[in-house]
Amino acid sequence: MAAQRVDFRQIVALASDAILILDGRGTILYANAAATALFGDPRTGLIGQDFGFVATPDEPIEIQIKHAGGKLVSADLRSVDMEMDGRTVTVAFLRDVTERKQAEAQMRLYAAAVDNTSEGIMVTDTTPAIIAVNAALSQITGYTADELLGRNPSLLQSGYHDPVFFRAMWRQLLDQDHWRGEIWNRAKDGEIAPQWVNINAVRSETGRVTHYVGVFSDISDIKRSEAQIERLAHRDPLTDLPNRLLFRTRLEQTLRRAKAGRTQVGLLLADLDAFRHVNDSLGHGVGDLVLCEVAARLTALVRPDETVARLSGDEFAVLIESDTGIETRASLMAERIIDALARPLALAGQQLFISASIGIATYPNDGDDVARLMQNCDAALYQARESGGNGYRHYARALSDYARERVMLISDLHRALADDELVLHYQPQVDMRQGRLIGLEALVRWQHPQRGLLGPNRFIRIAEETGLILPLGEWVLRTACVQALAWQADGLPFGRIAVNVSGAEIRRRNPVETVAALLEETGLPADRLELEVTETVVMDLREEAPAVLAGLKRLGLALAMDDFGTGYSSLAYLKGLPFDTLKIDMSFISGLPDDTASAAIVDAIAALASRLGFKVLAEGVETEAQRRFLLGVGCDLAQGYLFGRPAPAEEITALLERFAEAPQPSDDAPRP
Amino acid sequence: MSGQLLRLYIAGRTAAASRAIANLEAIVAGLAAEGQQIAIEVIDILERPQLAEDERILATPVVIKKLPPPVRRVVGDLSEHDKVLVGLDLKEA
Repeated sequence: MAAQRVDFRQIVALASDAILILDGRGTILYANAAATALFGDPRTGLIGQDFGFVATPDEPIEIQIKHAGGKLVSADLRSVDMEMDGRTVTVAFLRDVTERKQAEAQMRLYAAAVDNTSEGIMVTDTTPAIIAVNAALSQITGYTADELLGRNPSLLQSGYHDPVFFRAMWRQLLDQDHWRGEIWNRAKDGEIAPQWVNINAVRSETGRVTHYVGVFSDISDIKRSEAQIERLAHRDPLTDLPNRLLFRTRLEQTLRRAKAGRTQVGLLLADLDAFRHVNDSLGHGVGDLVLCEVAARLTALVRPDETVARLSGDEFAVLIESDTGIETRASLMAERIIDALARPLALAGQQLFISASIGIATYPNDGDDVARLMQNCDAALYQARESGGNGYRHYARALSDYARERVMLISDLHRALADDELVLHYQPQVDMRQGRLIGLEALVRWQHPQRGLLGPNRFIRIAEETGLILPLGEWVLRTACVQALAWQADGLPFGRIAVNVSGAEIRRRNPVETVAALLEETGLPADRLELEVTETVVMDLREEAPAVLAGLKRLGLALAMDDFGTGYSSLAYLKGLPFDTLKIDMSFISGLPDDTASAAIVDAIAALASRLGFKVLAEGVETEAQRRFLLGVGCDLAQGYLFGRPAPAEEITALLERFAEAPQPSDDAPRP
Repeated sequence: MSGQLLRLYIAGRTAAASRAIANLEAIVAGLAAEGQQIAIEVIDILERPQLAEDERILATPVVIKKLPPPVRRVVGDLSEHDKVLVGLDLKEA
């Protein structure tokens, strides 16, 4: 047995647990190798030291060992009393748990981090049942930890996603151990909110999936910002109406729905008439108020599921649907819009009167896609505007010819300017009393290679709309000056060369300098040139008009007001403007002499103008009776077929030569 | 029997240290009920390492009774109240 006892001692000596044998007062009688290592003292150093009386319960207790090196070591302590060599001793078993304690501390750190993060964290087993959640998850979901633990995570489902969504999520989780994406979950209070979710599988050492960890970020705020951005991108900030982008989307959706459901769609484009004048005369602040009021009135006319949008400046769009009779419904809507806008606006202390031109295109009659419908509706709108505004037009197939022509004309006009397809014709202006030529009005024509000779009414408006009017106007002015100089050099007196100037040319940055440069370039004396500006352009210019006109006048040229009588200007206003001549619009002349109203107006204009110091020239004089009437009221100057049609330069040259050779009698009209 | 002092040495506010303090207070309260006034002093050897050296402390928590002699010390969370009293020689085994 002695040999066996030695074996037991050896076992104790080599045990991996530290073992101390203490006497009844806690003094160390024996320490094994592991204990020596634990305390850091040589074994002999431990013997006889006072460890302390140990009395442990059944469970091990944790104590701190003061290692000789100074550090503290955590150890589990168990003890057992036993009889040895006739006395009671205590055997203390100590196990180093420092690493475990550090791991526990680490875990506490992790736990603290998990509990303090704003992201919701959920741990499930593979059932999947929720086995752990953090505080943030409770906050996001509204469920307490107790309400979540043990439950299937599906209790958070909002019904927002279909089963296919979750099947795909699980398939990826099983295949790739992770999934992330946006899930709309339902909180306990029923509110559905978007969350960004990261789910990772946790595998055991043997590679088996044991848990899933889901991290939930509340992205409601991000969604709100996205909604805000979406709003900015799709709404007109002034009126809060859908903008062009959103309107096109709605139109597209509506057309898709209409095709599927065999319903009809009506598109109305409404353009405010002469809105520019509101901005110009009352300021943009008032203009904005007008637009807001129009937006409100239009919105009040449609059903909640129909769309009113602001496409640009003063252009609004209305989208309506109907099972049948869309054309009629669109007409009624157009009339309601016109009526709604007819009520005067009380703004800035004054009453404003506005009206709109409206174009209508419908599906399926006028097109079946967004581009076609918008384009055709635009053509109809153009027609409505051309008819004088405050009205509506349905798109008609003939309009598409117009639209096509318009597109072609625009490209052709670019070419015409480059290829010199434009020509000038000249129409004589005469002094009927003295029977002499006083001037030639230059009128632009377009020698179109396919369409033949086109009058300005066919292309000037397009030139104005596309900005080509500026180079075109310069070309006209230069060509007329050069031609006039040629006649002058040939000793052919023509009086003045009269050139029409468009509103765009007057409104350009430096109209006076442009004209001055052309005069200098061509060498034509300024007193040989007359510029004709329409009354409408002058009225549009308002405050700027006197300065611009005076600037032109200072160059030494003459100024005529064209189409006088059509622009509602008062003679009193004209008095302050440096015009030499007023050209009475031909609409007043054509009724002469029988139409008493025309006769009275022309008589009054002639009388007042001469008193204000203006010369008066009658446009469109075609008959001998008109000539006599005009002479009778003191209007000596005239232009019209009676005296000569507009003709090419070479014909005019011949005419001038005849005039130069044989002047006509003073009481007779010159005849080409 | 006045003037008795028990010094409890701990190493930081660990869970075991807190249990030892609570147990020692309960033990002393029990003695007080029997008319034995004993003061407690808690000493954290992390804050006063020299005291641990002076007392040759090997492990904490440890409660040390110096007076009246004999000097006694008991290691652990002091949860076994009766055995603690015996170990401190405050009660017959």
